[in-house]
Amino acid sequence: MSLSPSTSKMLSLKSSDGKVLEVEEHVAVLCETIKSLVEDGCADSPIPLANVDGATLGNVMEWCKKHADQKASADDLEDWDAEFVERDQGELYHLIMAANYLNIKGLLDLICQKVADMIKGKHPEKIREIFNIENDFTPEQQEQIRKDNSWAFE
Amino acid sequence: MGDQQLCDDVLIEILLRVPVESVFRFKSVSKTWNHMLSHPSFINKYQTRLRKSSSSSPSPFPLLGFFQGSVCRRRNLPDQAIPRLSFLPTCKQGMPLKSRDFMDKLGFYVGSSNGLILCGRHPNSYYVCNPVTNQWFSLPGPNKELDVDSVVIGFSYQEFFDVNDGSIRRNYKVVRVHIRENHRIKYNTLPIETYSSDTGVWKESMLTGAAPFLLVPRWPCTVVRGIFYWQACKDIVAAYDPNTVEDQLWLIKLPRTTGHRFLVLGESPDGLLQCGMDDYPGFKIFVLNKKLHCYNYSSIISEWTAINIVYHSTPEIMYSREESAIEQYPNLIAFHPQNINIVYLRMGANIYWYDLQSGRIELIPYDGVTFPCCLYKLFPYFQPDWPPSPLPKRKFSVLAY
Repeated sequence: MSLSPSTSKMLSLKSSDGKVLEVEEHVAVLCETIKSLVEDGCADSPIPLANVDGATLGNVMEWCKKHADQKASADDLEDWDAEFVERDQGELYHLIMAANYLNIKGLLDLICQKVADMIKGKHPEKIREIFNIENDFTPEQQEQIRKDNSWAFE
Repeated sequence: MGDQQLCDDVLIEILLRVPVESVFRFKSVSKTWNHMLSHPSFINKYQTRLRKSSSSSPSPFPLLGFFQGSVCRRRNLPDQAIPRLSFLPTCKQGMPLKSRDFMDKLGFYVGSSNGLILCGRHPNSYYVCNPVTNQWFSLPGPNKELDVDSVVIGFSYQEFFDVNDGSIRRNYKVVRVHIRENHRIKYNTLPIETYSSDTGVWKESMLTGAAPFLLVPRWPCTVVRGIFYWQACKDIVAAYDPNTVEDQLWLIKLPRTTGHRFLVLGESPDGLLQCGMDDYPGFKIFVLNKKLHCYNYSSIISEWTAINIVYHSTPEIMYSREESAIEQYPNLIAFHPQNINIVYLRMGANIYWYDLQSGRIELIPYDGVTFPCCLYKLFPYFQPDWPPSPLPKRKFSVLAY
């Protein structure tokens, strides 16, 4: 065990591109994945995070740090979160995948809601573009399904 | 998202958070999306999430408008003589319902329950319809041939949440009552036929009450949380729970007031039957002392407690009356199904909601024309969190494309 109660509880996390980040334990354990490693005594430094790149890990830890702060009020956090998610699609994609991999429910909720707000009411054509999806309906199927759900386009 | 594809778990987490109209729109994105968004497990998750997130302060389903259905249909009047069904939208989302083609096709308004409506023509053609999605299903003809004037029908759609596995069971029931022709003889039994969306067939049975009674013909049946209530002569209401195995009726004697032309029924937060009745010069709200299931079937129930008396002279109502028809007194339309303290009122052509606790009254603007309240009743329509399918269970499957 490299961790002992007397030391200033730091964990080092290693991103997929080899960057190492030193993070206080009480911040890092907002990630359920890291928390269970710590609880199982497997949190040998540095913890390799094969699915998260350095820049994204930095962003994730920034969020965790803010949310581990006991002094932050609910209103304060809400405002801060609103600003935090003002990012381009690429960054949001990496954040959402990292939040899912590291199992951070609060962050995953936040970004899913952000993406949901971005896509709601959009036309299927636009959705295919955003999510990089191929339209595999035949024209007849396409027409039928549009007809069946025509109320949703009113 | 960029050049990459999100994994399915994350994609589902996102799609659980878009409005229901967007979910139905996105079915056109691809076959995979259509399959995912039509799958029962997605629908269960979607509804469960909404109900969990609003459990602290359940946000009531929005009112889209009022269906206007004729209640006194004369035998010899040709169909075309009176509008059978019309919808008065009270908001933007309700507007498309006004011009749905089922309005002309499906006959008369019979009943509404949790987002589905029952339309049709007595004595044998009935349709279950979702007015939002414009989908409908034609029920098979009932087994019994009955005269038009001896039929009363009730309709109930329910969703049962299983807290253990998070699944939702959906079912609707149509109960068709046969009022026997001879009005001089009262029976303590009631022949019924029940159509269930689980079985897809009509089943006959005979209900028994504690004493002889006579149902009022053509009066609409009220359904509150799966229990059917029929109005009978001499201030009696007959109640039936098709979810129990007993073929029994509770007979409930209504509290004494000056009249019950505008009887409305609902359920209090404690699960007690609540009724609103006109009582000149005002209206009164009562609750039964115990839950209906705590009473046995062997005697007539009459333990009511008055919980609210509203006089027509209360300033709020006087004020509203002055600006509309002075001669009109408020008629009760219905309780809000999810907020029993809200009651809908009608004064002449005006529709209001009234808060029984605060005494606040507010005009509900609507689009369309109301017909005389002696011939037509108004039925509020609320948009549920997920549009229910009018198809019975065996026909319900994820459409393959």
